[in-house]
Amino acid sequence: MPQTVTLEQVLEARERRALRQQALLARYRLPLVSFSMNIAGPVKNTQLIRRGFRLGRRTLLEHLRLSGIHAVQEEQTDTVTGCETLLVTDGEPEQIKKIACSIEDNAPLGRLYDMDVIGTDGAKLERPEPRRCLICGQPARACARSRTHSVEELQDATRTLLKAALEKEDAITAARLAVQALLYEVCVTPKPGLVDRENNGSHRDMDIYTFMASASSLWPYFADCTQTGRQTADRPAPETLAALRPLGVRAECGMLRATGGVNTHKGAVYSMGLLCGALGRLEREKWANPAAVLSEISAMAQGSVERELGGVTQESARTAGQWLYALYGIAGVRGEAEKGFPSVTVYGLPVLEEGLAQGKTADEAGAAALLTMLIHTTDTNMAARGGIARGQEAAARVSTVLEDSPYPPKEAVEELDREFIADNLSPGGSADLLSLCWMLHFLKEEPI
Amino acid sequence: MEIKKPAVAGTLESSDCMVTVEPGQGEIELDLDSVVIRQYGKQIRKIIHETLDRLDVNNAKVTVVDKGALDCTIKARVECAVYRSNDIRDNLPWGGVIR
Repeated sequence: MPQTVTLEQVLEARERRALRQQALLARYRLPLVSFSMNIAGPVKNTQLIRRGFRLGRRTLLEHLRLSGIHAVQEEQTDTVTGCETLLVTDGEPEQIKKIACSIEDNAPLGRLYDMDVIGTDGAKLERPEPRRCLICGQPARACARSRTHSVEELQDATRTLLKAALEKEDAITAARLAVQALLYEVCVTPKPGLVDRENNGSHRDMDIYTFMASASSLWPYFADCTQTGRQTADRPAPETLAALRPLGVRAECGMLRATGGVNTHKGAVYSMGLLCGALGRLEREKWANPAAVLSEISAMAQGSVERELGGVTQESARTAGQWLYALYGIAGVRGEAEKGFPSVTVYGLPVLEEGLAQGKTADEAGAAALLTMLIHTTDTNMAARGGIARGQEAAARVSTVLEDSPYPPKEAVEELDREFIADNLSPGGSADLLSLCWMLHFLKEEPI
Repeated sequence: MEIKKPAVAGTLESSDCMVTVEPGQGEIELDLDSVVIRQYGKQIRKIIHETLDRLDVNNAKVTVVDKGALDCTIKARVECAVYRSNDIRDNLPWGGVIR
């Protein structure tokens, strides 16, 4: 249960804040911004409110920085009476006030932000226009004084506003990182048989620009997947997957439109869409935890191999995935998803992150991650293009390269590239897994 | 209660008020500045006088700068300023004399 506060606690917190403001003014003789959340009712601090506060703080700092204003000093507090921050800045008070008012008036959560600006004389700068009421849009002062709206009504409006704004913010973050992950994957050079910055690998119908177009087209899809995950978070995980399916079909159509009919990211539409849906289901705080994200994916994908591939025969198989399952029982990306992408957790991600930590480039660490996943999974693209035996042979060849060094030199990967191209092999399935590795890595790095 | 020395309570944040009490000249002298003085001036004066009455304060200069505080906030700030002028700082008797 969220903790409630008394009027006395709130009043005391305000006085303490005023004292801290005076101390900072005396010490720095610079203008201050005092930012807190405007939350009606006795519950002033919840996870939702805290996230809204963090978003507001980041927005404030970013807007100030755009105007060349910096925080010289910052004092943050996070107590039962709410979150607040006091920023000592090196700007002109009037300009800072303009920035603060603009955020309060325009940011999605602006109505919940109180960004007071205090000049070096200790006086609070007045805003030109009165604040508006969260509920009716009338001047807030009158509504607050007369208690026009009940506390329950205000709390509901606050929660709704916070949820909607954070859901959107999260979807934008997830989509941006997902597209970034796809672009990083295609840019890793050299990669055997795959499109990279040097060549088109074993492909004749696509190049790196096709991938740029394709990845760009998928941005709204990833945002939708994240929002759908959030909206279905209270339901059993497989229902989220079911809700994602129509989005995936639309995304594939959009991809084909963007690439002129070339299938660049079919696998990524599935696996990265699933990942974004899992992010939506999870609290934002868990995004940096790959194990939590992958186990959510696993929960969502339960039963999908049986459901999608169970009845498929050699006669009825229409896609490469169905054909391989009917012929050899290879469950492909659905099987991997059901297990929570163990090749990513156990092989790809550790190799990628260890490499980066050792100072390897994105190319070196990325290629190493790709190759280690290639030998530890059955890449359905390899099998579909060259047959099972040739795929296994190629994987064995990659194994010997990795035995010499887990981060093989560029020349060794280029040699593999030539061999793969000669045999028309392309480890597209492993490339999708590499995108997932990049995504999970970016999620760890992304500030909340 | 006697106002022995000047004391302040409250802040100038929105929905708050700042109350200053000083020794008076034989009566209550109230100076009120409020952002909602047109609609609520009368009501605010009433709540201040009621609070002072209950604390038995009848000789004080009281200055209130109101930024749209609710009645309960105004009452609490006036009480706190009076207690502070009597050097009562901890364990304010919120539930006793103050209601």
